[in-house]
Amino acid sequence: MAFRVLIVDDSPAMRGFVRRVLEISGLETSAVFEASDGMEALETLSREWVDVILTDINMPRMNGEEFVTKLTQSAQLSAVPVIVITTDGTEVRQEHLRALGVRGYLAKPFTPEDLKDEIERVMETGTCQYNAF
Amino acid sequence: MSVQRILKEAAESTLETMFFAETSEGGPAPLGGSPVIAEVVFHAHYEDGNCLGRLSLEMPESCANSIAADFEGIGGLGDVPPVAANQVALELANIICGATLTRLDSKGLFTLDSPAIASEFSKPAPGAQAAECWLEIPSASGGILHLAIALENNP
Repeated sequence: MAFRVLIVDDSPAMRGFVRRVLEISGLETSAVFEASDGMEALETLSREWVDVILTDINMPRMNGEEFVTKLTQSAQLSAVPVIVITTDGTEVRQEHLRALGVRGYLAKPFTPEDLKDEIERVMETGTCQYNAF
Repeated sequence: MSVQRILKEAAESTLETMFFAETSEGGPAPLGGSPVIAEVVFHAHYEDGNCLGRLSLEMPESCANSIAADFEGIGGLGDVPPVAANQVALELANIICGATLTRLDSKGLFTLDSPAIASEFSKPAPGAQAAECWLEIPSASGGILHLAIALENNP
């Protein structure tokens, strides 16, 4: 299955890196979209459907937590799995994100294999696997 | 484990995992020219109190270009746009800061301000809990990275 992926990060360097890591991880993608914050991501999602969203937390205008909250309140978008990619690997942050409905979590630094494994885990399970992150 | 050790391990892990750069321990060395300097201010909340802190990073411009080329998958150093070296330095500072704070206390909570390019490398204020380290990056041109972190109690 080829995935349609949305990358949400205010750092162009990080968006480029994630895009490249997706390529070298061997994960099949049919489309990769980019957005620089939650607001731009919602605009993208109003015209494109995606299989999975990879989002940062610290972003201007609409941060990752606000973005995830908006998604969970949307009938159309609440089913789209979200994986948070963040510098914050603390247990408190992970628990908070789980409570918001985030399905996957990847703390930087991560390898291409880590990203591939997390996307596959989230897409295969289809539901929250809280014990896994 | 000491803050200096944690900072060094976080930097090594970040450089090797996401920037594809092997490292070895270095010592203070002149960076020459106009180094690229990035800083991240953070607020940490631990069981024994709150901290306000800053992580500072500096490296020669040639090193920043080399790391940016690897991070962004750009073929030659001459193809690295000037803005890319700064963006990658900001991202490197951001990731090392988060990895260091997570290692310092995985049960704590912290927030990072947006990283910024600075004109001078910040020396820790007197009285602050501080650590610094130097890493060599043999694969990068002018490959030396200087890092410092300072934490001040902020009741």
